[in-house]
Amino acid sequence: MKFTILQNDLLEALQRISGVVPTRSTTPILENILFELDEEKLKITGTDLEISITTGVTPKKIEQTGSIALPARVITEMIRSLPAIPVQFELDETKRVRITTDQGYYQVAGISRNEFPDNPSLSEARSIELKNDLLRRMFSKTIFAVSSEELRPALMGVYMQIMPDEFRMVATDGHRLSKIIDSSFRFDEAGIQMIIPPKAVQIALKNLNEEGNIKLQLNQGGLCFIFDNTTLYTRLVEGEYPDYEKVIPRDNDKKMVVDRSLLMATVKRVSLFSSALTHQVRFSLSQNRLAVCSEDADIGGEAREELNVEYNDEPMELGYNAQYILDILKHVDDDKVVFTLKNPVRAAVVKPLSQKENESFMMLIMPIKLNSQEHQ
Amino acid sequence: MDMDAFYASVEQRDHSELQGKPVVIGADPKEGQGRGVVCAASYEARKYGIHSAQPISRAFRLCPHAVFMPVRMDYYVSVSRKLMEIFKRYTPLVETVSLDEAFLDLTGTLRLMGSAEETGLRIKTEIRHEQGLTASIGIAPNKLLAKIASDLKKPDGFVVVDHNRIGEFLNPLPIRRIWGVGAKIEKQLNELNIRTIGDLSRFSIEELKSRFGRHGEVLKHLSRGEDDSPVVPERNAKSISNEITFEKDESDRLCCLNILLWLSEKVAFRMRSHRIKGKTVVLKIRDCDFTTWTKHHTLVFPTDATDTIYQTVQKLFENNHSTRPIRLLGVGMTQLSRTDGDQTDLFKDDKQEKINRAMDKLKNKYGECIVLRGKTN
Repeated sequence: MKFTILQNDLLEALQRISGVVPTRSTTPILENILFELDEEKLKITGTDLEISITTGVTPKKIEQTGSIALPARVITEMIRSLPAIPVQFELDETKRVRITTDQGYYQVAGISRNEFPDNPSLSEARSIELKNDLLRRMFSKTIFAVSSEELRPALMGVYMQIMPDEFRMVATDGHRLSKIIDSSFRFDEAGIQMIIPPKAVQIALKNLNEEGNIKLQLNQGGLCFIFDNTTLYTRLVEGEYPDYEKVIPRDNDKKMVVDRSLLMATVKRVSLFSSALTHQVRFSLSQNRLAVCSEDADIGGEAREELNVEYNDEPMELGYNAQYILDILKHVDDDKVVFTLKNPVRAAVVKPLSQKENESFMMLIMPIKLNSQEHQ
Repeated sequence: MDMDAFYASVEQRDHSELQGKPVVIGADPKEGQGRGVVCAASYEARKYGIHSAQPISRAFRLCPHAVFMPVRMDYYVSVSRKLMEIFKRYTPLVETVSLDEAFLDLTGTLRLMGSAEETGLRIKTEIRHEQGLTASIGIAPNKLLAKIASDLKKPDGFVVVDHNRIGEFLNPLPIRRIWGVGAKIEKQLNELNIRTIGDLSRFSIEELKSRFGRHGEVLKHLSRGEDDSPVVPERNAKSISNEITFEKDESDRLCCLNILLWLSEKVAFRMRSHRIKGKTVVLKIRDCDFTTWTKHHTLVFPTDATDTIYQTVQKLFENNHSTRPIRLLGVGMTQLSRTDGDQTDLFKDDKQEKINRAMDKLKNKYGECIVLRGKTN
């Protein structure tokens, strides 16, 4: 293997796969990047066995094809620290790679291609084509609610449902839920659903173009995103996604409308004085008025702010995790947010005051049961 | 401070006709057919070989004419609270070990209250006058010695350990008096011809280490009366944990899981009764050659729920691939905070919470052994 490539071209390619390569692994080969050179292109691959990503880059000059795995950290750091100059890679018979620039040379031991895990093959895969901007929007509106709790593995991913006349995404950790539906979507075949791990979603978000389409390939256990010159493969989360529609309340009859940025700023300030372990804040709702309070019994902190809202129902005391509230508000595009409520132990439904065309976006947040309400 | 035969003494105090008689608190013996256990026995009953945790049927056989009485746990709790009030007159640093046992740190009270001996005697007198009960008190420079001292002259004991005469005090005592020395270690020590604490203290750290691993070092320190563990009131506790040493090293996975469930329940019950929640679950394992390790898992949200703690501990336990028999298991929670709320969950009904609450009610009323969790697999 012998080729010459521009530093910035290679760095860009290395950065596309950097999120996948584990810095420390019980399988040391995974700390490497696979370089594969054919007559036209250099392909580099990183994997953690759950997710693998391969990206292509065109070298300036190809002299001899070949392949080798090289330690990811040292190669990436080295290329990053070089100026934008041509870099030559040359592999010798002892599997050593000599990297030469006009400033000097660097030599590193490689590992045979055969020891690097093979890319998973997507046999009998179905293909789906989606709009880049739609997929990006749906991912970014749901990923924040994915669970990190290993006790419920099925919730550790974004649930994607492709149906004949709508496209849905849902994520929940049991404490909050986010659901977004695009109703302009049309799909000719029967429905498909899958649970995509959040790490794959993050990498996909990084690689999705603003415009155009993306092709997905799907089989039993895995999903492949085919970007312009990059393919991302991920294993899907196993298990059955819970029946989330069943837990979305339909009869929340009290409504609070509030200015999004005002509430965000208030919650942010007040929550600084809440318990660092629970981030618990208290919402006291009364006629057109909302008080947000917190206290930290462990350090003796306390805070309270009031703001104007639209609310015309009976007074209510609700407990929430401030971080969940902030996460939810962050994902509302509208200036005004609508909370629909039932009682202090029921999920609140949160929506933007006005929805985008062909879109239905809603979030749920479960309250913290305040002790004074324990025996209700 | 250790109350003398606490439950039984409370009953004898309230029923003068029981004084001087063997009294057994526990399950109904049903003429020897009962299936529960003894919770406490008066000193008169102990003379017949009756002791706590014994099957009630056995106790009945040992002494059929003893007075058998049911457990009035909520009442003992209320008496225990009154004892705590007495202690709090002298120091805020009270660590309650159980209803009838507590450590008091009198370090800072000398000027205000007089010497530790004076305070100890006064506490003893106040307990007798106000509660009509006797306590055994040990006064010493640390918790280890205080515990040994309080056990030494039961009942109604009062033993002071002079910090210049620790060796004199400890050396003649049998090794069983030391924390953590049970039947098994005692046997191993006996094989080395170690019978008294003095015998043990003469062994070098190296010799003990080669025999007991890291625990050897601990034994050496304890044999010299060295212990620097602080007196920690529960509300300031950094962690809450319970552990158990098996009588025989255990290799059976299912048996270990059952024990872990039981320990999880103990820890969760303590947290719930103090309105504390924890975020990090800790599993402690000590295997047959005294290698001890702990594994942690930090939850997303603090909990006091038995099932969440147990499921986490179970996962940690199953990630442990060592096949060596286990000597000790412990379950603990750290990252504690006092919280006044429970994060609700979309997919969990409050069934578990209701179960916990119902179990706690029973335990507060009838004692911790009244209701136990079981597993179906």
